[in-house]
Amino acid sequence: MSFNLKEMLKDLSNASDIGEVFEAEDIVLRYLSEFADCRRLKDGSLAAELPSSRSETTLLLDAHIDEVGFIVTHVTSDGFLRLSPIGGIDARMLPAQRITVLSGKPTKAVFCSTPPHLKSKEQKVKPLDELFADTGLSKKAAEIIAPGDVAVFSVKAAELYGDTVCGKAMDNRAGVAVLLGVAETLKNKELPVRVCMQFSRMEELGLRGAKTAAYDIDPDFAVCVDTTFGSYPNIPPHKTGDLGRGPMLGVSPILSGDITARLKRTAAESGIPLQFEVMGGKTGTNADVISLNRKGVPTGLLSVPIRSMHSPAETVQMGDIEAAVKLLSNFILNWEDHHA
Amino acid sequence: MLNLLSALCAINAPSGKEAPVREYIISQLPDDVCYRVDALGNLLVHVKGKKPSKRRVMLDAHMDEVGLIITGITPEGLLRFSTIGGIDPTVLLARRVLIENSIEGVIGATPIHLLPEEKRLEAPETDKLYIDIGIKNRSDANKFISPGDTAVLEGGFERLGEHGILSKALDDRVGCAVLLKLLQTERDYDYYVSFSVQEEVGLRGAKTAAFAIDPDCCLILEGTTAADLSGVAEENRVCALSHGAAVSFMDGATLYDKEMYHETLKLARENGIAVQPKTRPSGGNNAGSVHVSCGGVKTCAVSLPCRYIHSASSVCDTRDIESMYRLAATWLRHYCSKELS
Repeated sequence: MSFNLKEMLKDLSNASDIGEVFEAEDIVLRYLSEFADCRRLKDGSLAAELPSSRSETTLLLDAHIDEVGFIVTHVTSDGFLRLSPIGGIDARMLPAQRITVLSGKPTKAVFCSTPPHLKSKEQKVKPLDELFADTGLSKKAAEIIAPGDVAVFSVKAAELYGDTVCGKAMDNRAGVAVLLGVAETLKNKELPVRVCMQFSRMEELGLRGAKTAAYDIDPDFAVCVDTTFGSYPNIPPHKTGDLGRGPMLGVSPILSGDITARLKRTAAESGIPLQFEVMGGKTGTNADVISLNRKGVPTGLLSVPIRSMHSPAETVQMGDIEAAVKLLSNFILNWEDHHA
Repeated sequence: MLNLLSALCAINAPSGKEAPVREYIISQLPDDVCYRVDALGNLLVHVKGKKPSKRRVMLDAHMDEVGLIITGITPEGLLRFSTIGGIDPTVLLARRVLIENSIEGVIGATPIHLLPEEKRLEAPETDKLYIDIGIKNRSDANKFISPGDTAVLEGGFERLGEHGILSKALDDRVGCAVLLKLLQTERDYDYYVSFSVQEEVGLRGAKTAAFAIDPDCCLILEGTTAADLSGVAEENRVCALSHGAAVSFMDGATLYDKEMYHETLKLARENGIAVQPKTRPSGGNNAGSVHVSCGGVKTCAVSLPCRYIHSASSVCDTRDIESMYRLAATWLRHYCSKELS
């Protein structure tokens, strides 16, 4: 299989991975099983070990593979759905937004938008639990869709100017793409450390999958790869990084100072652009739980800046993903146990 | 009809840039009709039928759709915009747009994580939204974008449920599709058709179209708001999908000719065509321009009920399109052949 990271990212973005639908995992498995040792962990999620290392030290690379979306809670007799969020969903962007309900046969629906004559004067947006989604199915909806079915934004990834890609679920298919890029870079190389990758589930529900997966893998060190906020008008600039200026290195008391310093040094030595994301405590990423796995795991965090996070319009630059791939690959190739 | 409608909805033509729709319609016109394009861009078609009409009958649908117009570029390379026609900002947030038929863009949104709790149900404002085309500075953006460039919301044509269609621009490509099909089939009498421009910015094209045709009576084919959503009371629904074409007695721009309104409902019922009154006098359409032109024109509006109109995902029912077509054809024959009272 020829490897094109941008096409891979678009495929991953278009795939649904939520609830018990695992299309993105299937893509990862199809690609990695050609050269890596893939296995299912006890929690059902996918892990892969890169070949060619005699080291007994295990470095874990984590990227969550799930995405935000919805779960059907009720189907009305006139063909409308009530939904609850899976992960953080901004109700303001839902009216007239298309979704795909992942029942047996994927079914289209569209969130109702309130017609102007029914809008209240204060112009408040309806919260998700007061919104319906329209299936156009009338009575038949209940035969096709059941409470518990999950749904995702219905949008296909597209390329914008230059190397910008836009679509749903860039959080965190961008991170998944980074891991696949690292695997591709390292696949024929002798590695100074045993590299395991976990594609965690249920991050958007509170970092749940990373907990069980890391327990199973029992790594000595870890680096989490996730996405973070890209700069945009009306957002505090100190909470963001710029797209196109490289990945963001997490700096926080809960992260390993040593791993963080080594990532920073590798970037400097390799001439890879790097930005910093400084946090006073919890990072809101899988690093929060992996660092506490078993007896504790020194953990680093590398994030790709994206705009419009948790929307069907997330944008990301390939240059930032490629820089993260290069940084992590060199970090691994330069691994020396005594530094840890 | 659905193939025609899907082709018409796929064309991007905000008000003022209707040429691609006009060119498509011209390409589909039969050879035996006469047409011309007026100074504003309206496409005026005359059909010479087998028999002379008892009066000058005009049928109208508008070619334009709501859209966006670029007003400036920020130092970060993001595009400021205004809307062309009425668009609720909640249907703009986190949507894809296509600028000048060639440049993909996306309207960005603040991540919910950074949105303070008290702002989470606050309606977005259009002038705080930006189009992101992937360019990160103004000077590069200037190479591709000029103020005045226009964009449309991307919203592909797809089926929804059993009888539904989900698409952008159903308002009013459905009127265009119905009129085009009439032009391809109806030859009994002489009649005039206008495919008009700039409806969404104030019913402008229909003004000059009606002046040029100078009709005795006119039928407007439109898309209108259907609020038949779960939980909405009957009196607030305006009209409902699958209940047939909607006929207006009053809206924000027109108090319709009472006799013609009742006659149209009667015609539908006599011919077994599903029809419903539009029960809320809101909105407006080209009737507002036509009925006051040239000393006054008896005008009727027949609309397709559309949910989420003026968004990239409006929804209609295919059976209503069929009713709309049959009613328009019946109406045309009736008013061309009816003796003056």
